[in-house]
Order: sequence, then C-alpha cells, then structure tokens
Amino acid sequence: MAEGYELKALEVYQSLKTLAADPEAPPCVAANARKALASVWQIVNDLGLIFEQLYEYEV
Amino acid sequence: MKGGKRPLGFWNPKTETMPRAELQKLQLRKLQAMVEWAYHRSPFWRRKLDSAGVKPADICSLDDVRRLPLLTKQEWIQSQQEKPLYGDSLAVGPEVAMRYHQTSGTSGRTPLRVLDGRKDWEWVAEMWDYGLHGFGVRPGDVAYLPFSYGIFIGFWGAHYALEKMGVLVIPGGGQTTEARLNTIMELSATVIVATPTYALRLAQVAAENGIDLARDSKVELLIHAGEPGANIPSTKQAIQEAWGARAGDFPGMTECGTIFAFECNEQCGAIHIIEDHFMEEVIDPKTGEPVGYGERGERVMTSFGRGFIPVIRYRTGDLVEKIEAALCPCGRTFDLYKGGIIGRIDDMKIIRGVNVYPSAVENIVRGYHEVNEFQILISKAGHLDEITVRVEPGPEVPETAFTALGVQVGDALAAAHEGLRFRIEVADPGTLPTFELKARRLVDMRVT
Repeated sequence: MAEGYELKALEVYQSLKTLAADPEAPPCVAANARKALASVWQIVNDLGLIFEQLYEYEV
Repeated sequence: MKGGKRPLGFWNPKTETMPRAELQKLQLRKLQAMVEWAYHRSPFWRRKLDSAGVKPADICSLDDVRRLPLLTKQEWIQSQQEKPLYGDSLAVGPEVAMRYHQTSGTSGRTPLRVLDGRKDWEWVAEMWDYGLHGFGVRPGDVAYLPFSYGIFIGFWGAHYALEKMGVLVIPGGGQTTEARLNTIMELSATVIVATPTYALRLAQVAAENGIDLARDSKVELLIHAGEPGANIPSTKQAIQEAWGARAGDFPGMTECGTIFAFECNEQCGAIHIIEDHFMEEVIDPKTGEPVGYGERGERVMTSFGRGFIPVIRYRTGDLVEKIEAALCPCGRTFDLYKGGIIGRIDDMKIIRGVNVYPSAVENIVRGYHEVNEFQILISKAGHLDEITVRVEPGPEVPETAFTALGVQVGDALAAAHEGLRFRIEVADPGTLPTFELKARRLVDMRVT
C-alpha cells in the first residue's frame, strides 16, 4: 500500500505528463513542465513506483 | 575534527533500509524494464542480445543476468568509431538530448561520448544526493567546487545535486589555487568537492602561504571522486589531518554519468553501492564467473538510470571486494565494497616476480607526512625490471633529512613487497608534476 506522499507524487507525475504533452502550451509552460516532470520522475523512480522512459515527452 | 560527526540520514529511507529480499525484487523489475527498453530501442543492444541468443522475456530472476552478454569499453568505442559520433548504442535520437559530455580522449585515443536527456541528467544529480546526504551534507552548508567545469563530466553532477539539496554552491572554475584558497576562507566554505590529489595540493599551497586549514577554515566535509585516494588509508588520513575535516570516497564513471557508491558518515572503511539504481556483480576477470562476498574480482555494472545509452553488464576493469551491508553500523541494507575501488585489474605491475599495486605504494608513501608529492617510474636495466619511487619533500623538510627520508620510505616499501628493492630518489621541492584533477603518477617506461 502506497504511503500518502507516494499517492500525491503519482498524481503530480501524471498531471505533469499531461501538461508537458499539451500541444497548446506556450514555451514558458512546456519547458518548465518538462523540467518539473524530470524532477518528479526522480521521486516515483526512487520510490520504486514507476521507472518508465520519458523521451517522447522530450524529458 | 571540525563540526564532529554529522547526524545519520538517508536520502531515500524506503530503499536504503529495504529488506534485501524486497530490494532484489525491485532490482529484478528494473533490470527487466531496462533490458526490454534496450532490446527494442538500441540497434547495438538488439544485435548483442540476439548474438547471445537471449530475449528480454528470458530474464526471470536476478541469476538470469548472467545470460546477458558482457559489455566492454572497446566494443562501445568501436561502435562510436564505426558510426560517429555516438555509434548505434543510442536508444533515443540525439535530438532529444540536453547534455553532452566525453572522456578526455588523451594521447590520440577516441573519447567516449555520452548524451543525457532531461530526466537522465536529473538522475545523475540524484545519485550524488544519495551520497552527499549519506555523508552528512545538509541545507545550510556552503560547498566550494574547485573544478574546471569543462566537457569532462567531473563534478557537474555534484554541483546540481548540492543545489537541489539547498546548499549554497560556489563554482570554483577559472581560479588559481591561491585564489581558490582565498575564496574558501572568505566565503566560509564548509564542504569541498575535489579530487584527493587536489585537496592535498590546496593544503600544501595553504601551508606555504601560512594558512592552517585545520585550524582556520570552516571546512568540515571533503567530498572526493575522480581517482582513488579517499579510500587509501594513509592518503585519507593525510587529507583529514591537513583540513581538520572528514574526507569521503564517492567513486563514479562517465559511462554511467555519476557515482554508483558512496561512503556514509560512519566511515567504516567501505562504500555503499546504490543498489536501487545499480546492479553490481563481481566476477573473476579470467573466467567471468561470479565470486562471493569477501573475494576480490572485477566490478560489472548495470545501471537502471540512464536510458539514453543503456549500460548493461559493463566490465569496468575495477578491482573490488564486496561485503555484506550489515558490516556497516549505519543500518543501510545496501551492500558494500571494502576499501572502495581497490585498484584496476590491469593496474598491477609485476616487477621481478613481485606484484606491485600503485595504491599500495601510495598507502605507504603517504604515511610519511614529509612527502608532498610522489611518482612511480618503472624501467628496464638490461633484462631486469626496475622500480623507482621519486618523493618530493615539503618545503619545511630540511635538506639534511632527505637521505634518511629516502631510506625509511625504501625500507617500508621493500618490507611490504617481499623484499623487492625500490630505488628511491628524493626530488627537489616543486619539481614533480602536480594535478588539479586525476593524478597520473605512474610512468611505465617498459611499454613501447
């Protein structure tokens, strides 16, 4: 069973993936979302929750 | 030492204290994912696994890792030479990369070129965070990095890792050694990140300029990588005494981009492998068969981090001895390398039938505080091999003491090497090469 912070991390991760992939997002949104997604990937990978590759998101 | 022992802490308590059986299950899931990724995305790995007759679905247990073929540096470089710049080992097109680095590629050798995507580059820093936090670095520290910040990956990962931790980071590129010392003192640095050789060089220049780093600086922790040194007891002691601070060993490689192990603040004489991100085997270099705990062998690395260029069962050439995690009192369940990276399997020189390791010579020479720098020269006198150790005394050593110093060092080396006679030359102060990054102290003139 995932800890509370693990569930929150997964939610943030999925939200950032959606934001980073939004074709309507201007550069200030897309670039920073990708940077944030790269950071949150460390959380979900460190916790052994998700360890997918993210290059299709340019991350 | 200044500051005393830092508090125990885990960057990732979940995995750093995970029961071994659970940790191994995690390693297996990550190994399966990485092999699947490499097989389907990298032509190099598809070809290599097909030649070995193994498919990703064949990896059902950690023991199955031995069904995967070993990777050598020669193969990797050959791929890059045949298809410049990166070979066909890339799993992703270079247009998605945001970071490039390479090895030094000296003496006309092809450098190894590596690319990282954004999450790979963040992962490089993340591994450093495991180590830095484990050694006691905390927000509020002031870290100074006397590093050239060039195309060699060096301490770039440490820089970003320290920023992520909330440490004040002072980049020390483009400064002379004297200017660096001024910055360390003026900005009250508490952490230094450098090679062991350069930490000693800073201490020597400080002493020449009347600065007592152990007494007058605020430095409490020294973070070392790039070469053996912090794992060699005499060298570690020399650094710690010169700075009045703890010196930690953090070995890494350009091939994985970051550190794969770290010394925790217990300083038990071994380094913890970051086992939720790396799978490390130790093999007999001649047979390729695994060796057990407490036996020396060659380190074989599989990285679960970088996906741009998958690194699976990479023969590192490092000589190590793995021991069980419980031998460190910190509570981590990550296994250890006793003595860090002991040497290179091709480092050992045979001189008149006696095995000589450069790290063993260093451990003896650094036990003499009068020695500032040293060099090992191997030559031929007729048909016989000769080994000469040149020692450079510090400026405070009177010339009248040079002969006695040479005799003491020579006797100690002979006693440690089955009576092998070492020629000792005492060099004039300031004449031996000094190094900012990795030291190259051994010159084998027998090689043509």
